[in-house]
Amino acid sequence: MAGTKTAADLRVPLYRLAHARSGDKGDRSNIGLIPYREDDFELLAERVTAADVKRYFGDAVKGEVVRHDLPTLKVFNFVLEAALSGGVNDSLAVDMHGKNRGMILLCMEIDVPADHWAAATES
Amino acid sequence: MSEVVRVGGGAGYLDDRIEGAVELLERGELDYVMLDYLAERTLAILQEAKQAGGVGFAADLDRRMREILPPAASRGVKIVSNLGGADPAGAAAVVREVADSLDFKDLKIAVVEGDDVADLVRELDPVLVETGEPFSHLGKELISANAYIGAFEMAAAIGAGADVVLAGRAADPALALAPLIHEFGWSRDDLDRLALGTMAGHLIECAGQVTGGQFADGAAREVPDLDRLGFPIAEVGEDAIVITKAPGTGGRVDRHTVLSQLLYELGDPSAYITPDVTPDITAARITEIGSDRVRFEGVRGKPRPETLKVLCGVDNGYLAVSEIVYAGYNAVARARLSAEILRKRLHRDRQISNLPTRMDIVGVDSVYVAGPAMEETRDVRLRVAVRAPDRETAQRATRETEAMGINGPAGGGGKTHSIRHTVRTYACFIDREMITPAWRMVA
Repeated sequence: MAGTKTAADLRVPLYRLAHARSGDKGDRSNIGLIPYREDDFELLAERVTAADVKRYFGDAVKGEVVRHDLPTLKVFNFVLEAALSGGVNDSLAVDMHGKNRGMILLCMEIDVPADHWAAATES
Repeated sequence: MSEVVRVGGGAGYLDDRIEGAVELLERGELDYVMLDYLAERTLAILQEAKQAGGVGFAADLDRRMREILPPAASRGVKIVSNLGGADPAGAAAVVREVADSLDFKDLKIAVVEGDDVADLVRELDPVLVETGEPFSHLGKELISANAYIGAFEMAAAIGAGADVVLAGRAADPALALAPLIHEFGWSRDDLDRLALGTMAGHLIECAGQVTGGQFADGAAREVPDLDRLGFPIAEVGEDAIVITKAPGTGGRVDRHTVLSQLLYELGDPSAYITPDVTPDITAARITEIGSDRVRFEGVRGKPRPETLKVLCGVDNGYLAVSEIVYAGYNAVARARLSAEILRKRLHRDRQISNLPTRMDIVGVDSVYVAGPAMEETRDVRLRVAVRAPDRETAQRATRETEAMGINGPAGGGGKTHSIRHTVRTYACFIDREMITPAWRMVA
């Protein structure tokens, strides 16, 4: 996998490569990120870091973001602290559980090597 | 000893779809069905209802049992549930009455009690996770305090012949683990097996969320016959779980739906802490082995913690939500103007000006908190949420939104509002030696 961005990279929303589900425990949100193709696990491990996710959510996530990798299952679990305006019991937000956080993460755009993208869309 | 025990997931929350549970019982060839009725704040709400003279369990429990008991009892499927809520004995009396009226007079019902630790919390005044300070520093009255209890008492009740086991705040996955402990004779030291059984419970505790619920995306990700979403079955052996669903129902079970649920509400995957065991799934394996059949294995177990998690419920005032809709040219600008005017008007009311208040424009960025900009929508809803200490103030907070119909920007319509009392929960940990859950058969 190319480690640095090249001119041949394509900008692709994560939605095209993975699906996600989010849950809550108090003010903590978690997002399970599941690549459609197991082969994309390495690419996403490189291009969707905890720091990327923290930056992406900006003010919506007050605490730290930790990414747990599950290499045998080829999935990731992002844990977002202080992320739900106090949590379901105290939040004034519309989606107080943060059920849509996973779908929002899938709108994040990442750089994907063009040859990789061609292989991914063929299968 | 059976080679495989079939446990169904018949409910993911207090008001889950009964049709799914009934189809599961009729077609699933189950040995047991678990009914998870409790979310984090449910017990505080039920305790409050009980203290106000109502019942401490689902208000429509008799109606639910009238539909669920016949397909279960007629097939010998045993029910394991936390539907006892804040009053397991009271819930058991309702189930008994329904069973008798349906001529299931031999049905044996057990309750598991001892999760209510309100007196202990008042006495110990434990430090709360959220504040880092003792409970008493909140300066609020305790509505409820319940410890998450494990599976062994429920397993003992099943061993004594119970057909229905009603617990209060049993940990969700323990509802599946309990029958497995009984059937396989697992001990407290069989950590890997307890961990496997716990993960079986985790996978089916939200019922349809592992069989295609929360998965369809309206485009690429299709779920067949989602309107008839089938509820899940865990076929659990001593080394692996197979997740499937009742035949002839809608939904899908594959690697993707199972992994989605596996990660749901998960923290550290190397330490999924429960009262009975701490599963580690970092070396787990998943395999699609047939149509709507997925095998999950390779779960390791670490010892259980020496403390039990306790959720303490306290009053959190009234949540007042009021809304007004705008459409057409500059719909978003008019909603923003409306919000600005409302802020000024609410600010002039001294009893409201200091209250937690939030304004959102639904249709633009009320939920979409991050991500690239998208096209402007043609109709939006301004939503005003205020948390007020009493109902009267809450009502006043909604009146200004109502008044925007005449006294605000063009086109304001579709006004609506709701006011509801809320509770919030705080977590703490109490030495498990001080908490003694116990089961008993009820007459």
